Amino acid sequence: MALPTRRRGEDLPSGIAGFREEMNRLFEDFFGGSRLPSFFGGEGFHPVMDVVETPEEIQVKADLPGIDARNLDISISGDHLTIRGERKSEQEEKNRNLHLVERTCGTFSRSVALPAHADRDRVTADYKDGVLTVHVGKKATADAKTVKVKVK
Amino acid sequence: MDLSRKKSSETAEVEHTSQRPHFVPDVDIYETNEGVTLLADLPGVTKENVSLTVEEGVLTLTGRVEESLPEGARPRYRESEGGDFYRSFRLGREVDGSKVEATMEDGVLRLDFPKTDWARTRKIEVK
Repeated sequence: MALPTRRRGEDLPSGIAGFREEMNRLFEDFFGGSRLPSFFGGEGFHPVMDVVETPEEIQVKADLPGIDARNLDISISGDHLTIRGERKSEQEEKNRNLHLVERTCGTFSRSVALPAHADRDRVTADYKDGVLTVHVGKKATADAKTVKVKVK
Repeated sequence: MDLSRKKSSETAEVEHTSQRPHFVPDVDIYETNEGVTLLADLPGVTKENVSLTVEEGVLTLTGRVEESLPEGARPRYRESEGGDFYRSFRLGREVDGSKVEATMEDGVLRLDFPKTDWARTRKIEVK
């Protein structure tokens, strides 16, 4: 087996650099080439959201792993529920070597429209296993009056 | 605008052992003097539903998401598609796969791998 020759001014790759090369290659193979660019300009964090309606309430769920839920800003304006917050990146440490960074960080803000029968006064939220669930009560539909329209 | 998670069918070949789609979780990997740390976003996955195996130098991570739609629930708007997380990594000689420490908090899985003695910088003193 031929030993790698050392060129002037170039060190032999250390074990860790070799590891990084292997990891890079592994991820390139895994993703089949370069990753798709983000559609949102590459900055910020864009949580996936779902809205589900049950007989009792409307549930707005957002995937927000690893955030501090106390710093979330959840508000209702008109018929829109807005969730704002920030996902902080890990503490920057000087002796840290980043091999792969996919988990995006930054501020985020997302709004969903609530249906007309949502009760803005009965809203609670909980955060578990990285999922935020906002529970919005529903107004009794007895309020709805049917108006008969006569055509002249 | 496609806000859905990356499906594994769009990336590498992954064996599907169930009908549910598999998603590739976002991962950060960094290295310090002591070891290598891997962080994976697994929102909605509880500690009990994470499965980790290290076999022949390959780490495989699976996170099951329990779909828990209550009785009579009707989706109004959906971006997530329901499915499990799956990803595997080849571990190099530098890390000791048998001594990995795994913790899970708020949907983020953290794996800490110590470096093998072979990889640790050994200072040699000149007498």
